[in-house]
Amino acid sequence: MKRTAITLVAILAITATLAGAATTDRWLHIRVEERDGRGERVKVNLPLSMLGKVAGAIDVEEIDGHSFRGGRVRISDTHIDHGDLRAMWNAVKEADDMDFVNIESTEENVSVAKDQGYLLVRVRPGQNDGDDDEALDDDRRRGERVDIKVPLAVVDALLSAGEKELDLQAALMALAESGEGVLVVVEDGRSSVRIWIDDLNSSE
Amino acid sequence: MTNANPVLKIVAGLAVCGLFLFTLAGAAFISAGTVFISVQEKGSDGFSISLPVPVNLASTALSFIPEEALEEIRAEIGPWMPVVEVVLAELARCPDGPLIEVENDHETVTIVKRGGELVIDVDTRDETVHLSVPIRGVAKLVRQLGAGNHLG
Repeated sequence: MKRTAITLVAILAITATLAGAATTDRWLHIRVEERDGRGERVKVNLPLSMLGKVAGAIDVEEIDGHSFRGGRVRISDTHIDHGDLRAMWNAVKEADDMDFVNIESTEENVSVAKDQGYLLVRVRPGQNDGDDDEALDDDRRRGERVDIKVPLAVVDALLSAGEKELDLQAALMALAESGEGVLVVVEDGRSSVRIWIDDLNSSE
Repeated sequence: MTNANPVLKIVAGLAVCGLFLFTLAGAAFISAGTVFISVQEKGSDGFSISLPVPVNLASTALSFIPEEALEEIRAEIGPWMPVVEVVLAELARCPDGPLIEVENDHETVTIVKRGGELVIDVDTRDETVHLSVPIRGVAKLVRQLGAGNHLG
């Protein structure tokens, strides 16, 4: 699940990064803070217009079975049937607001919901069922929390490409039209990651 | 002056023309901006160096690189040249402000857009490094390199 969450975060971050094609004044902000170790802090403020144009300029034929051309990412080594994925997404889109997935375990609780035009992914630490604390993995002990908020139109656009392709260009256009706000928050006891969009060129 | 030696007059005229041309050439030379590099070691006996490099000097220096080596560079970075050009063009357009800051307990790296320059500062326990790059000048250099017209 952690890997899935990371993949979702990565896709969302890339999509957000590319969202500048239709905007001129919006900025993408990324904050990463480590609370232990060297206490690293990373702050990134980039104009979305620049990132959108960069995405359009990328032309990579083949890297590890993937290619990036014309704003579309082609994933060659996936076994997911695009038709099935699209059909499943259409069903989600047409459904009323609700929780689609609820997975509860001792490790973590994961929920995927549709709410007022957004797809919400939420990960919370699982309930302690009496296990010895030492048996818990590091993430759970530290209380990993993940919140992802993606406009439905963005996912729709992302899946609008052909077989084995993700249309990032279309997704970014949809994201740019969706306005400013927080896209991703990941927190645990050791670090936090926050990605958001607004009209300021600095987050201070 | 009216009784001056004609040869001296010619020499003086040539000197004025030469000075004028030199000034024009100098102005053209620095118009693309200057890459400024400064490294300063910390400590009482730390060495420091500051090196201003006019972009046009770098442009001229390209002409001394063998064509084969330039072709290799182009082959390596060629696919990414449009990306670099877009980044530089958009950086030139965007308002001033901090772009990237990385901090930990022993070093700080900042990349800031300031005026027409991209300013990179690195501050570690041992040294400070400052690099300022005129964005438009470097964009011109990149285009020149990518186009294979290294003589500009």
